[in-house]
Amino acid sequence: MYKPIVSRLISIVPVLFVVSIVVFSLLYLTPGDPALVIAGPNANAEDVEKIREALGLNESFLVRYVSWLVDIARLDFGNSVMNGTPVIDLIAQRIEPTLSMMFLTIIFAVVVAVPLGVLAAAKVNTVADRLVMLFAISAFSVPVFIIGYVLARVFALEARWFPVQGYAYLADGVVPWLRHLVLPSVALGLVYIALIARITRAAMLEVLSEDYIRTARAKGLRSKRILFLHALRNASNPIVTVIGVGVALLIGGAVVTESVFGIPGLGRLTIDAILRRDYPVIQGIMLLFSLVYVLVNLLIDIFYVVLDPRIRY
Amino acid sequence: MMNKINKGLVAGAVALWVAQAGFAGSAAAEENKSLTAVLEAEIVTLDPHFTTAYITRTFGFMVYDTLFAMDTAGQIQPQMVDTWTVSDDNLTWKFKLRDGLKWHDGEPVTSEDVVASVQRWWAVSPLGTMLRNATDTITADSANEFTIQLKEPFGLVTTALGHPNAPVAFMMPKRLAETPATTQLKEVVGSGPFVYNAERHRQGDVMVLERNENYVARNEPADFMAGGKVVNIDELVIKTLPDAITAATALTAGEIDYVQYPPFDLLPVLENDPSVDVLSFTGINMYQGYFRLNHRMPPFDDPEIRRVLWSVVDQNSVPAALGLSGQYTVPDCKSFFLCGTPYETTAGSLSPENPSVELAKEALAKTKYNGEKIIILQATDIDATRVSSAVAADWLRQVGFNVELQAMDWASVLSTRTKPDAWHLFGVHATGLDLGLPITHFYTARNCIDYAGWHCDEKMGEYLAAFPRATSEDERKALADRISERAYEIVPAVMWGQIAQPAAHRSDLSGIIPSSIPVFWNLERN
Repeated sequence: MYKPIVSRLISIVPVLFVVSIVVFSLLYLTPGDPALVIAGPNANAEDVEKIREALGLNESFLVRYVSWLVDIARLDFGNSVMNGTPVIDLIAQRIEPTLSMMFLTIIFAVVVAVPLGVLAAAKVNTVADRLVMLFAISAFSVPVFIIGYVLARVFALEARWFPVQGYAYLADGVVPWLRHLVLPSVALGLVYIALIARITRAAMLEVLSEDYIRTARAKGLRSKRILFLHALRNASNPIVTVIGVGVALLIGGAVVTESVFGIPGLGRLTIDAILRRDYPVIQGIMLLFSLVYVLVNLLIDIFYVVLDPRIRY
Repeated sequence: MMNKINKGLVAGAVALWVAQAGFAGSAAAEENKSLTAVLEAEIVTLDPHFTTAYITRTFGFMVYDTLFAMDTAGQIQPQMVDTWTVSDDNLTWKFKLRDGLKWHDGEPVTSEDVVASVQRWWAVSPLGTMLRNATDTITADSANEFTIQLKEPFGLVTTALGHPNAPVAFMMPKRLAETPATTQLKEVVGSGPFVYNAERHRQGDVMVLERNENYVARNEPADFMAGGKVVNIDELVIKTLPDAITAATALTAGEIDYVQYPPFDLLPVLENDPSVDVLSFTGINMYQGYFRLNHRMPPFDDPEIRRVLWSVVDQNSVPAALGLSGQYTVPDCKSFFLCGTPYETTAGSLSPENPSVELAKEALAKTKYNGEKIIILQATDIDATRVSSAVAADWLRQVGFNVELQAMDWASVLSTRTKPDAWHLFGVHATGLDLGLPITHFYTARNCIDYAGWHCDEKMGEYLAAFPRATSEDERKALADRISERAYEIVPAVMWGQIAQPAAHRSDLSGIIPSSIPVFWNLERN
């Protein structure tokens, strides 16, 4: 068990190396120049050139890439070209809001979606099943920013239950932290609920048609016990997979949700860095996201073994 | 039993901590006279000489101070300067600083600091460069006196030192001002009415500016950037909210107090909200929209073809497409230096009374246009540039131009426009604070220099050079007329409209200075 985990952890290095080349190349090819953004639209070419020189942006692709790679090897992610703040500090400042939102979203989504999926499978082709599927299709179809605006309007502006925007750090108290995260997590979680609920339903339907389930029923086991103990456990692999894949979805959705709800997280940092062509920040975040994605996939593989002892690597 | 007791104790402790933490914030807010504002963008660059970005200029006016400052009428008034004298030959300017001025680190403001700050500023500012070129020496005479000795007449000494055109002549301690202006400062120490608190600055979230308790305000009432900057709040919380709809909603909900740029299409909603006031602007505090033309890219290297645009651009169209009602626009302003400003002029106007596609078609038929492609850059992340470029594309297609509209973000427009063979036109807008003065106007004054658009006209150069040397206002106004005439002739850019970008604030705030640079002195919460 440990050998494949170690092997997977080692494989992160070449993955990140490839990611670094791709990201660096893409940024190099993308039109835009941080010196122009810093100088402002009204600066003349001479001033822009001085800033470009000061930031080392006139170096060749290879020199810049190798220099960045050497720094990364020393765990130095560089500084923002906009104001010189270390990238690692910027990421550290922003990671809590994003992780908090993702954590609550996953909890909310799993708690709601799995029972919904099980219910739909247990009551297949009934009104309950149809309602669950209708909800899933609707949640898939409505963009997250629309859901966000509607939730803010109804529950923040009209009902005044939650704040419209912002984030309260956990150190400032659990209540304000939760109040600021409920609406974003619901907005972001709806699409995720739809996805997990559909996969749960499909996986459950497959398992529920197996012989051992029929046997369990014939033995007179209670329906709930069959559903949640025997069927759900065996249907869990695709559900766990989709939860893992969903983390990538969450990263994408976080960008929009953080903007709509004014949450100062990594999604906003990414967008701001891209719009400003703040290359070191973009590269740092992309490496982090890649790392998270690889680690999440590794966790999923470990979960497979835990949930299904027959699986061997 | 013990297990139950332990669980109870833990639960009680957690509940207490939650309750305390939950209510601590509101108690603190009550004790503190704080005001929360959402500005046009996040303040990323804190060095006001390092960039021309408007948001950094806004930050600068809060944290730094200036020797002179502009009032509502566009006149320059003393700010850090107490008195000044000018020699009979207009070449020797002696200045005395006000008593009691202090930097935020507690050190007194000295004339050596001022000299170093002016030298840092004039290395990068267009106005400053003009002053530098006319200056022989700038010297500190005593702790609070300094002299600018000119080598040739320069009629805009106080204007240059007090004009809000970015980068503004903000003052800073000598130890910081000795840093080249192309190297960003790592420390923020000004002498302005607010103090930047680095420890409370969370990038992408909030910046806190605290009232400068040592600030010595002038005795005159606050008047635009001039007069007494009396701060009536304890702290200004500048919140970063990139989504304008969210900002407007948060304003309505009372979570924030001031929004610099509420979305145009939500203005009617905010106007009808009794808890919110919409603040409009006039004159130099308005914006003027332009279509900037590339003089190096055929067919726009031909002035005849460039002039066709005067016949088609109807200044009501873009503001209407932006969703702005008439009260926020100046219809059909034919002045390059905006209407309602000291240098307003329509001299040489080639814009017809009623511009139309038909008129433009006729004008185009008389030119040598041969169906060459016209590339229009469209920055999609800024409403005014997105909409104006789209309207321009539509007009030009109707007139008979072969148009390609290239959508991209603003950073890409900034980059693409530096390439002379990559574009013909893009929509843009800027404030009257920059465009109201002929020698700081982006599209008249950037003559024969390496600046996107690359217009170059000898006569224009002569008028621009004569402007700062003029010794009377009448002389300068006459030169503004000449510059306007040349601008209509060579067409560095075509105006698409004069608009206000209204701000919105909670209606319990009063004393807000009507300025397109949002400043937070003078205001009070009722």
